[in-house]
Amino acid sequence: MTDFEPRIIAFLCNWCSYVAADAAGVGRFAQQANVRVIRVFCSGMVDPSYVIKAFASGADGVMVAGCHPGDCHYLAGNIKALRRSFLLRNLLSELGVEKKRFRLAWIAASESPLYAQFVNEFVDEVRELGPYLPPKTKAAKGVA
Amino acid sequence: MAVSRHYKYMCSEPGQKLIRDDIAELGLDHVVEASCSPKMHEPTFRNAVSAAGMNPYLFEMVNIREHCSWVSEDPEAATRKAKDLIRGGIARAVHHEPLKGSKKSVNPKAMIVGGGIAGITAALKIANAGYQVYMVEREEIIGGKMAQFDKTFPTLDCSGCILTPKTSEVGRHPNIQVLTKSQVMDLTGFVGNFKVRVLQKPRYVRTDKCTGCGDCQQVCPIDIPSPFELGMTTRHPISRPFPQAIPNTYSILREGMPPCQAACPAGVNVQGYMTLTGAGKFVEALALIRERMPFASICGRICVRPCESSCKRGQVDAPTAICHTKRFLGDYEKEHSLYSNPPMKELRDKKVAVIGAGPGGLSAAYYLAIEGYQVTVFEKLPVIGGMLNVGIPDYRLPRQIIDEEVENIRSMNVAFRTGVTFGKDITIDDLEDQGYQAVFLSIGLHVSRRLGIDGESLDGVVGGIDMLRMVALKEDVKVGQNVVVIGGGNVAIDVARTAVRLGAARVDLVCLEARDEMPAWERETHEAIEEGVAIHNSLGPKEFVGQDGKVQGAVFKRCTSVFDENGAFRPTYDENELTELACDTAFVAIGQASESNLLSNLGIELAPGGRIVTDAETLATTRPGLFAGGDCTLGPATFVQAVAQGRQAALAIHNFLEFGGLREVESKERPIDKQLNEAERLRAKPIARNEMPELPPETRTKSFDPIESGFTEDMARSEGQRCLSCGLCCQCGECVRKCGPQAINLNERERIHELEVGAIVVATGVDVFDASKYPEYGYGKYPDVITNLQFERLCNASGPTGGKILRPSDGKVPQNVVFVQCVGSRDRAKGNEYCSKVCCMISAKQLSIFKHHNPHGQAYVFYIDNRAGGKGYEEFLRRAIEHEHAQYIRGRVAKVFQDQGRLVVRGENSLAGAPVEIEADLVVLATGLTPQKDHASIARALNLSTDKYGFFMELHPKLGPAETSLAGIYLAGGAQGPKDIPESVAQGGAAAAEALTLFSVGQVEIDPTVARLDERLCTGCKTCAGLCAYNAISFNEQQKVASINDALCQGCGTCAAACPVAAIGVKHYTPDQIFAQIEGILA
Repeated sequence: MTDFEPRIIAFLCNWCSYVAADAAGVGRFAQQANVRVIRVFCSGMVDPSYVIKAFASGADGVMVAGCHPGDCHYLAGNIKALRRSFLLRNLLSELGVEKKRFRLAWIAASESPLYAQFVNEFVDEVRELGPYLPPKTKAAKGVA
Repeated sequence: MAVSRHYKYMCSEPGQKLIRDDIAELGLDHVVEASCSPKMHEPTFRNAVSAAGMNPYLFEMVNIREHCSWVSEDPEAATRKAKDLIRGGIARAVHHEPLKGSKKSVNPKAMIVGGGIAGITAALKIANAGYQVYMVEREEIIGGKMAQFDKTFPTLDCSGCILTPKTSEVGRHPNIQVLTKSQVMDLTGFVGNFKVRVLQKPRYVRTDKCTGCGDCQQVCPIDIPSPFELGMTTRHPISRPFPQAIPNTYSILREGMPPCQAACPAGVNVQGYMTLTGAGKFVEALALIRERMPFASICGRICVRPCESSCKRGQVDAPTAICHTKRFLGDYEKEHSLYSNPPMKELRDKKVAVIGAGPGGLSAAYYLAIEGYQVTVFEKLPVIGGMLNVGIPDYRLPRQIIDEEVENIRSMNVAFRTGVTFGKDITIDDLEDQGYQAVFLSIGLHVSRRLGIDGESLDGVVGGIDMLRMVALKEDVKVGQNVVVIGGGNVAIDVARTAVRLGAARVDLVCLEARDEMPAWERETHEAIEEGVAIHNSLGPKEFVGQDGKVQGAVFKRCTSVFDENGAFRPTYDENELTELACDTAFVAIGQASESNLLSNLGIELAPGGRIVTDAETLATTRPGLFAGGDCTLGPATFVQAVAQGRQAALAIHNFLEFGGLREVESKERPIDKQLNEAERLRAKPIARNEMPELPPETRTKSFDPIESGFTEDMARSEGQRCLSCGLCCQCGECVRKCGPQAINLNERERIHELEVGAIVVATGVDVFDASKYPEYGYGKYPDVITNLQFERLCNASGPTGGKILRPSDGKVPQNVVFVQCVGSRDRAKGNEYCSKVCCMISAKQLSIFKHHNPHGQAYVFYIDNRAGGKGYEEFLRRAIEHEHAQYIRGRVAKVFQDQGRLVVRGENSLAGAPVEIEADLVVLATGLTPQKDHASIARALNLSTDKYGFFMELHPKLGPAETSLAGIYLAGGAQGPKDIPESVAQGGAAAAEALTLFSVGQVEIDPTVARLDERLCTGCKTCAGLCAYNAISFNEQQKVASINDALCQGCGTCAAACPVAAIGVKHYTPDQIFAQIEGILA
């Protein structure tokens, strides 16, 4: 299990977390190379289906990062992402995805060290969980 | 995949040409480029593909530098990651479609955040080009750090002489609006069209009226260490940092509402009257109290003192004796016959009735009379004062005090009619018939609650309130030898102590609560015990026993708990454990009630329990014109609460009669932090709390004479001086009375400005490193160890010494001055890693100035390296060494200590390899530059990124030093990194040029990446419309589908993510594009 390297999809808000990730690069804040970033315009843009799609396509973890509550570039898109995340976590559980594999974080543009720290912690946690194995569907099992 | 190319400098012209040529030759329809962040070069490549005739949105950029190679320590893992990302980019690009952006015009106004020299330069350049500028400055004046400097290096120009022409140009420039004491709260919009919310704290002095005469500060009773002078002298809260300051008007430093005032139900300005008392201005202090509490000498005797419980002086030693001081003020006025009516408005032709002459009614009458109303107070009892008179024993509040206060109110044309029972002798309808246009009902709670147990009707069992009333009215009260008082509140204590004074041999006070749960005031309980009252806790009454109809004893059961887990009153008992106390008199003091049938006949809404329901702001009942307050609405409340409600009702009645209802809710001032801070601790004068002289217990039980004899003048004054001035300005009003042009408004409140600008220049400057982080240097311990910024003030003609370099400890001219370099700079262990860039030159300048002042003096400099990069800088430094004969010692200082009264600087001479000790008269620490303390909140408000220290990140360290990664937001000055004045000025100019370029072009391209609706899929559920923060989605009622307004849509995609049928997608971020990217990455 020790050589398991998780693959994680990160949806980063263009206005804060993506800038923090860029700044983490400029500042050379080392991160484990397991996170694949997809830039979005707002954490509120991340359709729950994107997260499910990522797990279905083989991701071991998914993170969504946006602006701190009150700082959203689009007034309150991050709050909508937050509201959605509760339901999404339940849905993921239903689908057999451990809740720890999905994280929603607030990372401001100025918080590049925090971004690197968050990435490293999340990678460690997902590595601990091991690879995400989608459960065999009932239909597949039930075929006579 | 038609072609794949690798080139080292794809963003260079040859690299771009490669792309253009491939598009032309191979007829490419999509291009993917993997390199740095799209935040950096996406526009570059979009332009490149456009130039070759391809739609720029068919281009996709993959970030394999900032997110990948620069942060990965494992090259192989990084390469795998880069491959995944590129695969994702290619998979996504296939789904891209051509899009066309629109243009939007630029709002040609700029906001400059920070009024230092960098911001001033940017502001003047933009304003001189003819554009409108808002300058947002946190402090009360503009000028920044440069305003504090004395001279500038290397020319020794007077800093003020070259700065003040600039600040005054800003101040009078028709295109510049300066917002002082203001901070940016948040930002929305985009380049060319920002909306910024700015919080402006009050100056309290109107800049358009203040003439700068300075009369105000001469009467201000408070001195606080001056922030501008770095604590080397004091200032008054109303002041102006220096005579040429811009805005050239005074302003007031006020932190917010102090905790004492915030805790007072009546909102009395405690800090104000304590300060005035401390200054010996007793009449003014009393007038200030009367603005919210008409009865100082009553309140000073019986108040429960929430102010003292929250007084921050209590966190130093003991709270200020606020209540005793207030009593002194009231008594002082009586003793010297100083009372005069407050200024009263002209008598109005309107009558108001007040029912009940208790504290609430009297307070309402007082404030209504001031407003000019004809007030009549109706009272059932033969005496005036309500519970003050018939509820509080003489030894706490002598009748004469009440009578004098009532006389004062009578002298304000208030009529009193006693012996008139409301509901019997007079009704609301009668009052209306008699022409009263409003009625304030404050009838109190004068009925003793009953226990409802066996034997309660026996002779000798009396209600507690009834007993107090009878004693007050000098009616015959039979108090036997053995008295039992039932109840644990203040009334029970008063009853017990009264019984002691009426000759009872033994008084037992029995209550449900444990000792520490008793609702009675601890001090009163303690005094009762001193007077011989025996307290029995945790006992609940079961029954009274007696013979021949007379009470002979009371039986109690053990109370196991009084409150349930929710804190509600729900006592539980152990019925088996019984206690009997013999008595011949029993007083039941377990609560008060109103005369319920009286209120139920009024036709107004009552809450369960019989309290009158009123509006929280206006105290209006459900019957128009009828207002109510005090105990009859609050339940048993305190004197100060009743007085507060009386005033509140008076204001509401005034609004009702004059304007037909509530006008404007008084905005409340923000309270300050309740926790003591260091500045307040330092302001605490070493004065112990004055104790109230009182009669010893054995004397006081013999009569109803007052126990406390009151403060002397000296005691009151010294209590006033114990106040920590937590709010800074105490709003005592001395300056308001003095100000000729009436420029001062102490009721000014914070304001939020919503400003629309096209460009923003962030020039928030630097702070100075906190030298106390190096305790070995003795800063804060030895007065003659100062920072270099403090040294600037010592040299400055407007500074604390008038420009003479005198050491702070004794004001003598120093002979040996030692400069310690790199305090907080180039020190990974304790300070910051970076070089602050200016300190070497500052010390060279300061020692030169010192030598000009004192040619016989000697300067020493402990340095690590001398950094004098700059035009004329090295020459200047040489001059300091060769001409001023400064002794430069290469090495760090280990310690500054005191030896036989003289400071000694111990360090090492690293060139000689020897330790060195130098005696110093003055030690100057060359403190480094740091980001502003509030840099994080500025960064968050404006979505800026900072480096690890907190300096704002520029777009590019070489080619974009004045830009940020957010288009339309530019940087200038020390906020971006330590720099000196010419560099700050140059960057200010560069930032201005960026803004002016934007204004000159006049329009910006708007991203076409907005939401798009597939009407065939839309089910008309309207989920999206409710979520849109920009009202960009409406509902087409005819076709029953949503409709998106492209001009309003900002492209945030919240609607797309929420649409249950995926009918909405954001262009360029459609689900099929994102899905493809996910699949590509994870393939």
